[in-house]
Amino acid sequence: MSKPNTKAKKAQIIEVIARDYLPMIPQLQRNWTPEQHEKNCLSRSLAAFAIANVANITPAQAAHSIINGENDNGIDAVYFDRNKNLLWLVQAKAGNAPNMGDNKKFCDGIRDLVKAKKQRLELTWIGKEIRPKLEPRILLEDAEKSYHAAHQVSENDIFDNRLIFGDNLLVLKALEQEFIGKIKCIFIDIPYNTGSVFEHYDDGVEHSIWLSLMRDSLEILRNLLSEDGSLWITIDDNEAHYLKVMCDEIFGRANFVANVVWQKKYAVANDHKTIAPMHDHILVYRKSESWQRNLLKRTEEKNRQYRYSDEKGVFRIDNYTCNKSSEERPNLYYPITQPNTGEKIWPSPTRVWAYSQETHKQHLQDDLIYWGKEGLSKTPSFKRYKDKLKNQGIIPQTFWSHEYASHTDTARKEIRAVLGSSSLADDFITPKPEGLIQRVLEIATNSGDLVLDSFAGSGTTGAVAHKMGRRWIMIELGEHCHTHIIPRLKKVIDGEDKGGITQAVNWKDGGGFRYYRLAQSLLEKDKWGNWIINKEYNPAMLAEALCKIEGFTYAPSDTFYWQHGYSTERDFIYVTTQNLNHEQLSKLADEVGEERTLLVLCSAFRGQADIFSNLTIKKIPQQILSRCEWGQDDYSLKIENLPKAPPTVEQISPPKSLQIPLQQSLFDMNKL
Amino acid sequence: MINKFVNNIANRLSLRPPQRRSLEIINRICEILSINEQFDIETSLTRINTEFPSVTNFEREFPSLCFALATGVGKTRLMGAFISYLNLAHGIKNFFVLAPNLTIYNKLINDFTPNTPKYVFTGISEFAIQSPVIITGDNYETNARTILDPLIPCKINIFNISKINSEVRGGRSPKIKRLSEYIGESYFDYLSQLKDLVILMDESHRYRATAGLRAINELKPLMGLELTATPSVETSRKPLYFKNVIYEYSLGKAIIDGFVKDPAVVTRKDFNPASFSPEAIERIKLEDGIYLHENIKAELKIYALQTGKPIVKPFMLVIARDTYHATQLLELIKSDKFAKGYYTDKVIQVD
Repeated sequence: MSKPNTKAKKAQIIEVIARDYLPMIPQLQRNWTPEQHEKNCLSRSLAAFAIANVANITPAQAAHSIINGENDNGIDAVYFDRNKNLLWLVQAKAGNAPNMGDNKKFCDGIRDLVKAKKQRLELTWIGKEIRPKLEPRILLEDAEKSYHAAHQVSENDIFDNRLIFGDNLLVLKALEQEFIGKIKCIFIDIPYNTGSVFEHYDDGVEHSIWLSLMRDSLEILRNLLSEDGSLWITIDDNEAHYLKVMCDEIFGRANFVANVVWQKKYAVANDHKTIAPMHDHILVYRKSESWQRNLLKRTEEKNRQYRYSDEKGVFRIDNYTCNKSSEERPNLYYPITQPNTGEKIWPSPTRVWAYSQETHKQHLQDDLIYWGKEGLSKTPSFKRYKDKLKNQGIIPQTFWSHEYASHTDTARKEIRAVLGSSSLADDFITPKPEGLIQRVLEIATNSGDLVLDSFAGSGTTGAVAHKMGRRWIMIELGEHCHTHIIPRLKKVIDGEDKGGITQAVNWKDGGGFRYYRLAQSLLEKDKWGNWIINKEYNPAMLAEALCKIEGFTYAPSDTFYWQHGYSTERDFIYVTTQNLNHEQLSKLADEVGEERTLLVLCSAFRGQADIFSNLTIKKIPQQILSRCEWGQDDYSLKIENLPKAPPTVEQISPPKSLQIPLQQSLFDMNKL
Repeated sequence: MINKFVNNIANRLSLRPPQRRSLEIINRICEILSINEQFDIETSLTRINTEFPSVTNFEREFPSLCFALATGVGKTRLMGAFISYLNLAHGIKNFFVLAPNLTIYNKLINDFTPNTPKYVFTGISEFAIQSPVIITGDNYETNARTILDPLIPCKINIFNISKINSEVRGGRSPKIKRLSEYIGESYFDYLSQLKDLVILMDESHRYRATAGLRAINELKPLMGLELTATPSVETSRKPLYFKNVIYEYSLGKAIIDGFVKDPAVVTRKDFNPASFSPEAIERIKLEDGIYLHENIKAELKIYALQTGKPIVKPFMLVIARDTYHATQLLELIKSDKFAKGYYTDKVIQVD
């Protein structure tokens, strides 16, 4: 074959693939130039073309076999022919011939596939590997909705609490930079995945979608926890066990603390068809071994047991025998002399003394035996002094009765009492009483600790945290953020909420909170479908948002127009929508000087970007386009916003869907 | 031409000239070795030796290069810069940072954790949205989820060498080499199959010959980067200088360039050493040191009280000739004869 012929043939092939395949190949999310994108798409189109020809399938099927470029080990297309039991793998290069590196990568990729996926202990679901790339947005304070007490009540008043209105996941992402590793306790009452949430949804993947959404939340929540922090999740029987396994994966099984059973009802539903549910679960996880639970205060009831006293203090009496027979423990079967009557007393043969003769002698010496009011009793008892108690408090336990932690009915009444209207209070299907959250915060936090609730609902967590002197952050997307939470917390701050745990914790009034809402997406599409800076952003917002995206601390300077924030003491950031020319850049470089460096984000610039070593120049929005998903406002459990999970999955992770056929095709490949 | 990755990272992290130079060298090495194309070790060595003659032997079973930087120049931040560069410019996702002891291990974990004062990746925008995941010797067993997650763009293992030593020593199969049901194989096997594992060795002179470090060879890393202020190992006869030092920035240079404080020499007026026995001289030296130490302690306390900053505790280092001498010094300082026994419980010996 002569050279021109090859060239012509190549051009012809490129023409065909550009016409028939290229439009069907999605662009990768990469920080590439249009030329790089085109070259890559052309390569993958070639892969589709090749597979269409060798496997004899339609261009559309071939386009579907193209994989997304994430960890593909150089494999561009995968197609499994079920009839022939044959697996096709293609690596394609449009333009230059593949080099040794490309070949090695492809061979490694095949080797990895042959080894297939190792079996391991895990929970999998449809769409597990799909994850949103969340945009870290800025939060905007709305002073009109913020609220604080008119006067400072005491030194301990807390004003920097935050109520944030916005999508759960996006707000968590927005909080990440400032609060990573700072939250002591997270209490969340997550959507239970029953009833209304999925009412109109009949796609057969609701459990998978629920798990995906919870996973995305929990991963950020875990990041936010301090090393000595803990997470508490309430959940009912429907998803509790799946959630447990998923949390094990996220937190590590060693960090599972307990599954608390909370008796949420005190009366059985008499019309229940099978077994009436009476409890919810509270899954408790710690971030690490550094977490320590608090002991609970001793109750009055427990204290009342200490009703005896002598010159050494108050004590309660304890049985001096133990549950063994004289045959089992002959050494514990001996006579004790009643010191006042001189009578020799034997335990009954079915029970023996709890202590050996030696220990008993010591007890006698230490005056630790009680012989009744007059000292004439025939039954010795052991004196347990209160101040010798090993634990000054009570160890928390996994069963929480409704007497201890209140119940759902009380929760409804509490909301009604605060809001006055019963119709609003009925919005919540599974309200949590203040008493329940009080118990959580008693065990997991101390005064001044930071508590987060990212599914705030009616705002119970904030109300309880406020009354208990903890700092709090609450996130809520629903309108009840305004109709329920704000009025409720105003009453708490003003001292008008007399219900809930107010009496129990002796809450008076004071403090306050700031109200924030999530800013819109930084980028929006113009009428031609190009990403541009959102028109809602003023220069200050733009600078703050870009500082966040670039990992800088936002701190605009009064002296230098080009200092909007810093990364280190000597590195600054300058955000402008201007089109900078060479002269402006050179002037900027001079002002920055040799001792400092500057990251310049501008709409456009003329001149060479890399001639000033102290400047790094980036074009916005081009340079940040691939960082995350823009213009996505709602990640909540609303069906219309959910990704169509099943088809995407097959396309994005072929190794998984191909796992079984691959095992069979191994032999074909080995024979080759 | 300035490499845009090098310049960007150096600027964002405000690297000092020796740190920047080290980063430029890594960049050059990646060009010479074309990081994704693996050569056999001899070829790699020849290529590097041609351009960097000081490197005559990697002294390991994988290409390993030593950056000998004086203490105080900023080795931890340089590690952050290396990782940023290899991740952003070459797509390397897996790093393994070795610490010589528990103190440095904890410090490394802290400095690689976001939202801490000395976070090493501040200003690296790719890491601002998704920070690198830290897997440590204490949590790898419960971290299968992050370990196996292909979407995490950068994973940094931080291990204490003594952990590796103790885990690979002994007859029974060590924990890290035991099957993990959550990973589907042992973590060690998993790591050794990674094609892009880069090992960073902090204070690498501290563990050149340990069992743990021999085990590191089995991990088959792509590359090793060693950082130390003293590029030599002590032997019974004389210190053995490393053969893989690619860049050296000595204490002398660091002092001239102002990165390290000038050391001050304390002298005594009209002092004639000839009139004292060696033991007495040693004792005078120690007492002079203690005198300075106590002065500094007082100054620091005054400073803390005046500024409201936390009190910094000073410490004093006494260098001994050998371990025998060290034990003697320890006994002396602990004894009641020295400062009335004030330092009995305040001194430790590090061999």
